[in-house]
Amino acid sequence: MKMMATAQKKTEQTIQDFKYCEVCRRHHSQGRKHVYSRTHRDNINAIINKYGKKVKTAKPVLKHPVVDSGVNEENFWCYFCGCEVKKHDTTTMASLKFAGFFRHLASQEHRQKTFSFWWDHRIEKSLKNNFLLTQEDYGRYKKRLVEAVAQWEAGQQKITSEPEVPTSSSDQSQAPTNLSEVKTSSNHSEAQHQKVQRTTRQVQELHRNTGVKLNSKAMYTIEARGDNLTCIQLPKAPGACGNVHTGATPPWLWKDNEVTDISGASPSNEIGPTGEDLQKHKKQKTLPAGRVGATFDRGASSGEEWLPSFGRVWQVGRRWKPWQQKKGGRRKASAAQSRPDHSMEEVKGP
Amino acid sequence: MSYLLPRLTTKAEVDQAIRNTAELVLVLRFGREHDPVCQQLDDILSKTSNLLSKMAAIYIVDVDSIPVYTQYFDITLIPATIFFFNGQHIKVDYDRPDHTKFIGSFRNKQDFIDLVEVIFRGAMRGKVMVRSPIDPRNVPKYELLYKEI
Repeated sequence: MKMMATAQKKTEQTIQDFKYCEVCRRHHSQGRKHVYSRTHRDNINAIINKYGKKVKTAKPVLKHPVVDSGVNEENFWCYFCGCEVKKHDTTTMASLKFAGFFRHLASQEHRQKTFSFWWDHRIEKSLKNNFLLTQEDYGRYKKRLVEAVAQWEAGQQKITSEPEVPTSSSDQSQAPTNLSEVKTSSNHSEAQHQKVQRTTRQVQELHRNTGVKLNSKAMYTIEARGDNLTCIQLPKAPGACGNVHTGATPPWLWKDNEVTDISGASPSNEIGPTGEDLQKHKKQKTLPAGRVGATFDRGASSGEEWLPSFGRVWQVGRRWKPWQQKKGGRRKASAAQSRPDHSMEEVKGP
Repeated sequence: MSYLLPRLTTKAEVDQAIRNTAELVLVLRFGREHDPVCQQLDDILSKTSNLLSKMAAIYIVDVDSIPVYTQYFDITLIPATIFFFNGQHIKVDYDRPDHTKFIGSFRNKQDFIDLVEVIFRGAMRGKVMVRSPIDPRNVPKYELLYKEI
């Protein structure tokens, strides 16, 4: 018993001897000496340099606050406080660049932690002020920030309050008869151009945010560019019937179309059996019942509410798999048919 | 090579082709006869039409002759290749802005054959939207600027 107690005491003492250095991320038994060791000094220098660079990039924003449209949720690691802090302040519409960063630097907690960090690790005192923000500086920054936000909001309102161009009127645009009309139409085209730019920006943002292509929106191409590709004359105005993007009734399902043969030959000139007779005598192929358009009625014309149905992207399984299955099935069937009866008997005999 | 492929010149003919092509992938090439890229594509189509005869029916359409279809499919760059199966427009994800049609020429015959095969097999399984098997690097790059109607 006595022996065990002494052994325990020894281990306790040794554990107490060791201390954990968060900067070097290791336990050591050197005591205060460790702070002056080469590795520790190198690590401290690396931290000061790294953090110093971050502060340096943020400093210009302190005098000229920046408001960005769009959400920016970036974090940064404060080495002195040992915690992750939000770099930018975000609202629903805009992000205030480095606002979170400055708030943290100006906070009382960060100040205390920085002082203790400097004391614990014996860092040069002159460097300390780089990582601190006085309350006065922060107050001045706040005032500038309020002005910047007001400016940004005014700019946004200007964009949204611009007169919207009624597209329906441009659809039925007629040739202008006098000079004043020409002027207004040119203004319209400029406004239209701006609107187009805005919509494309919105589309790009949506693409970036969601990664989803817009296909449910009613739209048509107004500008196209491609490598070595010819751009044909772009439609001036979208037709009332819509296009493939809108999900309108496709032209081949319009009610008014007259059914004519592709060959153009009159039925009386046809030689041989009619199409119906041919279909009757043709071997009926076994086709998958679930194939696209299996129930498509070619004779009937569809109503206004007809829309092409959307499927999901086919990604499951390999492409050759159904082919192989089909081929295997066929081979089995043909083998069963071609197998002569006597061979079966031979197999059965012994 | 466009003279080797059947040509559709009126809306009624196109309608007929779409409605009456059964259990085959219908390929419509919208373009112009004397456009160099169209000629490249026509070459590929004409050379593969026989190989694909059990899977696809390939027709050539002049963009300027049928404005209704040009407008409906929002064709701005030629050549544009559109696929149908049993009267249903098939959408293909090419990693490009437009998945309603293939714009430009294929790099080689095999790319086109692969695409038709994927569409055919997808359609037989009831898929109206498939992913293109073509390497995105071999798909021509283009930009489209859309405007809402």
